[in-house]
Amino acid sequence: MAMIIDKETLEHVASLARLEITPEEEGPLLGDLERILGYVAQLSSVDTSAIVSKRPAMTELRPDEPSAGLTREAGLGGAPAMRDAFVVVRNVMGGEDE
Amino acid sequence: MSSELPRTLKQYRHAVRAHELSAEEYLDETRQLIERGDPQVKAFLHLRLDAARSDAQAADPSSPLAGAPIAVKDNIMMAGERCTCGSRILEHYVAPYSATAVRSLLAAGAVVPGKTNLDEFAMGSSTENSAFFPTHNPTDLTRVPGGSSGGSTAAVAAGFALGAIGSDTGGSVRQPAAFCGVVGFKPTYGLVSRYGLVAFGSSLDCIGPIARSVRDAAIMMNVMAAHDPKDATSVKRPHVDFEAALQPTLAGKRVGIIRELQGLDVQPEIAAAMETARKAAVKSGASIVDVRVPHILSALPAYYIIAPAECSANLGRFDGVRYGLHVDGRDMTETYSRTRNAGFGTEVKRRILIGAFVLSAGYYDAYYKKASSVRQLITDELDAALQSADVLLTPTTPTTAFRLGAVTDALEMYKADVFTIPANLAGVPAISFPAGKDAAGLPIGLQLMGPRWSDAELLSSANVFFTALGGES
Repeated sequence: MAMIIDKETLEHVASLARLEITPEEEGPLLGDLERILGYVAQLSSVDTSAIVSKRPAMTELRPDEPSAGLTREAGLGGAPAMRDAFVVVRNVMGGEDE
Repeated sequence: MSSELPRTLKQYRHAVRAHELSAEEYLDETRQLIERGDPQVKAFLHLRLDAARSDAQAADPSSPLAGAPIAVKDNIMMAGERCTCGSRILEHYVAPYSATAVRSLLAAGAVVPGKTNLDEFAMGSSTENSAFFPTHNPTDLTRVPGGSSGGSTAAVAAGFALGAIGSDTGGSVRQPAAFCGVVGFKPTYGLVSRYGLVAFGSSLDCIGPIARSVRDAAIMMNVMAAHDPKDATSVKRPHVDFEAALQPTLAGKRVGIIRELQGLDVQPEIAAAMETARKAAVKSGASIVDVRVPHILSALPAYYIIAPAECSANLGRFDGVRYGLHVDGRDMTETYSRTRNAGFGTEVKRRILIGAFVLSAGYYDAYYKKASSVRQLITDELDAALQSADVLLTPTTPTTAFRLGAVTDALEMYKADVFTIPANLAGVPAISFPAGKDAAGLPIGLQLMGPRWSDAELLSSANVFFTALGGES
């Protein structure tokens, strides 16, 4: 039987999910995912041609009015690196970090 | 103080109001039980017993919960306390605000003795997936408490709290409640605010009470069920008094038995408990009806597409930038992946990968879209079944609590959720209540499901079953 997920697909999906798969993890993960995806693939035999997917009821939004929320200090308090009330990250535009 | 400690919230509230017991005295007794028992049970990830004692001293005896200790699962935020979700990625994270459910409990006079253990990000059925340590079942320490709210159910079963809250995405309140011999209730989707619950599967997640009796769960629902503008999926409903709605009989009720679940392999004592419950229902004035939910067995595979898909999106926020663990890399992309690799455990990675796969180009229609259609089909079928029956009676789990380390295969572990998942897919309320013990003395749980927004009636029916099978009213 054709495999559902191969090494290349796993690597592609892992990069989409921003996960690194170590060489030791790869074998067991491929086995697990193949079995789980093989199990859930049984849904293909369910006839859903008559199903009209219902739109969820409109979410009722709260009034768009300013109200007291988290302070900036509380909201940013968990960030690993901060400078002048900003979160510090690596350069995302290419080039060297400061 | 009276010689015998109250077993339930109801008894506790009575004793406190009659000045037979004070909240501090009760908390001191609870502290002793925790200090003696929790090194073995390991229900809590963090304790805050000194703070809880001050809160108990300040508690108003006439408030709805009158200083009762209520434990909180560690994926639900309480301001100023750590909220780890059982994960290395949030090991040192401190909640900047409290979940609405926690605020409601505190406002009603609850005190929080600690935050309870869970499978990492609520993904698991045994609490063995916690990044820190597994929790043990208080009835038999060699067994799992179930999961993912296993710390909360173990705490309530062991007497470390009078009640607890957990989250239920595919059975995570009900399945561990069954394994630990306590009551676990998943309300209708939208009835209890999820603001401050760390999201796993947003179309499925519910916060629900864990208690020693169905009445206690109703008392907690009275406190937690309310519309919350901070949760866009929270629904405005007329006020209901869940405790006052408890009726003494099942007179006129139709109890449905789902035909498609009859052939499933369940432990013989659980099948016998179903038979006992069925007889108790008839004795209490109910009629038994045979109902069909033709695609109910497709709920499990549909769930294991939908829940991982939602989890892969929700857990995208853990990037090492705004909160939690940070592992530096050469650039942002490497920083993200190093952080996530170091922070997430095996099961979480597995589910993120499944989710990313079923949502990725080329696979979306065959997996995610198909699963969403099957979910709609099962929802329609369950709604129809709940027109010909007022409640549906099923086992909560196929087996009683298994031994720690006994189930190592991910797919086998998923199958522990076969009875609980349909209610999450359909958004209907469901409750697990204790219904005797198996030959090894392990608790058995049975489940009732009801129509959307019939939470008060469902609790009432569950209370009749629970008391008829030996539980306290």
